[in-house]
Amino acid sequence: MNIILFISGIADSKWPPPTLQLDPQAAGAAAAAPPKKLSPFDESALECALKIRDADAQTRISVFVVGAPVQESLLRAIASFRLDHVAGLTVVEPELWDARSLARRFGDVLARQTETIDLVLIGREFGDFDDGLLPPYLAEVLRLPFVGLVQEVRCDAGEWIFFRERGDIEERIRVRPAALASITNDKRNRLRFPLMKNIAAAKKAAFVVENTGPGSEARVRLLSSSVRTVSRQQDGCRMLAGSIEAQAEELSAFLLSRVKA
Amino acid sequence: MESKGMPAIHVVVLADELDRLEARGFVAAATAMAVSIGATVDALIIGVAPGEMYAKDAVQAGAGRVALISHPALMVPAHTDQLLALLEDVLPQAMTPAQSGGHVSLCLFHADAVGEELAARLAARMDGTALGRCSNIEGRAGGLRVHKSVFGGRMDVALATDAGPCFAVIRSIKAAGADATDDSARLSDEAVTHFNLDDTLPAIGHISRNPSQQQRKRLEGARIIVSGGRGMEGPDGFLQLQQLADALGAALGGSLPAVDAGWAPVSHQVGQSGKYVTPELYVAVALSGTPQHMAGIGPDTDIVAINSDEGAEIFKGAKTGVVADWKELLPALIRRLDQAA
Ligand SMILES: Cc1cc2nc3c(=O)[nH]c(=O)nc-3n(C[C@H](O)[C@H](O)[C@H](O)COP(=O)(O)OP(=O)(O)OC[C@H]3O[C@@H](n4cnc5c(N)ncnc54)[C@H](O)[C@@H]3O)c2cc1C
Repeated sequence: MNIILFISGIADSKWPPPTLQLDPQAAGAAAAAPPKKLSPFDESALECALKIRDADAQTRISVFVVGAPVQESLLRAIASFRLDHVAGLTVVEPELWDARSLARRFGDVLARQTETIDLVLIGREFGDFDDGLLPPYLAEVLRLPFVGLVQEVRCDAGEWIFFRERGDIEERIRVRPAALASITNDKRNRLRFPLMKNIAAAKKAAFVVENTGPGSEARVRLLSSSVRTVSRQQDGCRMLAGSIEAQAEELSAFLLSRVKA
Repeated sequence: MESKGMPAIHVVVLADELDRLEARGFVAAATAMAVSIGATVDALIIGVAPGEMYAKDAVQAGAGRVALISHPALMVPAHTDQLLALLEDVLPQAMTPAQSGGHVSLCLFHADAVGEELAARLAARMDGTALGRCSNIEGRAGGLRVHKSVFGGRMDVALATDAGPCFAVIRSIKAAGADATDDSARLSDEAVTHFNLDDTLPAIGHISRNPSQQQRKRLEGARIIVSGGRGMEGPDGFLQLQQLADALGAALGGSLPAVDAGWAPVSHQVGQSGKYVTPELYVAVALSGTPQHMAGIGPDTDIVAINSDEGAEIFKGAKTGVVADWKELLPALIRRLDQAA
């Protein structure tokens, strides 16, 4: 089976969010960008692919790391899982705002693949700007069946089985390849640690980074941005002091008063 | 639904997914945005057999016209391929530039996993623009201005688009007089149109559904939520949280790391990528209060925070705080609540 992943990474939240470019032609944003790391959903999607390969060593995994620009450290971190192909795809910042233009870029990349694609995996939210719209949009652009918020994927008799929970219901969806699934975080898909020898190999690897060109097809543009600073509690927090017993006493009285209110 | 005069925005209410209060708050939120765009609201209420009450609620929340669409073969919980087929029959005609009075046409879904998927897939099928989860949408010359948050709730942005049709998801607001819909009020035939459909609906692959082993109180609509974070250290900690929740008649939620660890199910994750909850009281235990978690808690909710680190961010968002190790505090607290029961 041939699996493709799209990964964006997110800005490391230990750093302040980067300055966003109102004018996409202006230079300098790249230099100021904070380092990126894998998002929890990138990690889950990657682990799902690795588990499929654990079960069938013939599985091929290719990853496209997308960014404006693509950070090499992210490429190396991903390559340390000994994947068949890791490449970068540079887009221009305005396109990160628009699921349509990103999905079409990804569609172009996949159209150039020579091998049959059996599964496209992508985290449930793509990077710092997406609210979960890119994966279903991409499925439509690629004309693939879509299964969202998947927690586990297995291959059985040449078909995919997707597992997910919806409220109090567990779903098992069987789909013939090819398909696209968005992956959410779950105990079953916590990303493993890479082996030291693979980390060392990834340090020496060279990566092809494709550039989609300076033009933007985005239909959405940024008007303004502001870093959020306001705390939701203006009046301060009432702290319950004293011994544990005293705190428990005061807290239980407070909670009971709210239960009865 | 033909449009006359003012442009209409379309609001898709999935009656089998939202309870009446949520549905009403959703139409009310859409109406508030429609006012600033200079549009009216057409509500499409879809379900297996959506009750007339949903139509009354929608009208009282501000919808000008309502289409009540029933289909007996719709799956519950929703199967998006089925809904997509229904909506693809209706929306393209309703959202043409002519129907939108020359304005950018807009269709709104409720901000949840089903709404997000439908908004994106319809946008793609109609070569439209997917605007994502918006906190506000306004009209601007020739297009729309949308407000949303990015970088895990750490930054607010305003975006513009002139390219319709546009699809967005929004959250419910607390509708004015939300508890007071007059069920006996009569709806004019002009306001509500009934569509009883029975055509074959598509499906992808083969779906089997089983109730999960543990039935849990839903986060949606809960008055009180008890929620645990990574600091709970394991499933035993979550058992104690469940006892606390039971003593308070509360639902139990968790942070992303708690879900990752398997202590809470993913459908009970609170936050940017989980549920958006609006209880009266949110008891946050061993949770640090990151922007991604806080993004899932409504602004009117009172937070009680229990954390062993007095510098934890959660205290900045909480109304009441206790600096304590939960392993010491929870047993003492649960004992008192049980004694009072
Ligand atoms: C794209 C993206 C989406 C995300 N979506 C979500 C989301 O939807 N929901 C979400 O929650 N997170 C989300 N996150 C993750 C988020 O960034 C944080 O990692 C997460 O919220 C932290 O969870 P936590 O508070 O449980 O853990 P931590 O931040 O590790 O906090 C644990 C807390 O427990 C306290 N503690 C430890 N021991 C004790 C004790 N014995 N007694 C009392 N207190 C104790 C500590 O002082 C600490 O404050 C998302 C991240 C990304 C990148």
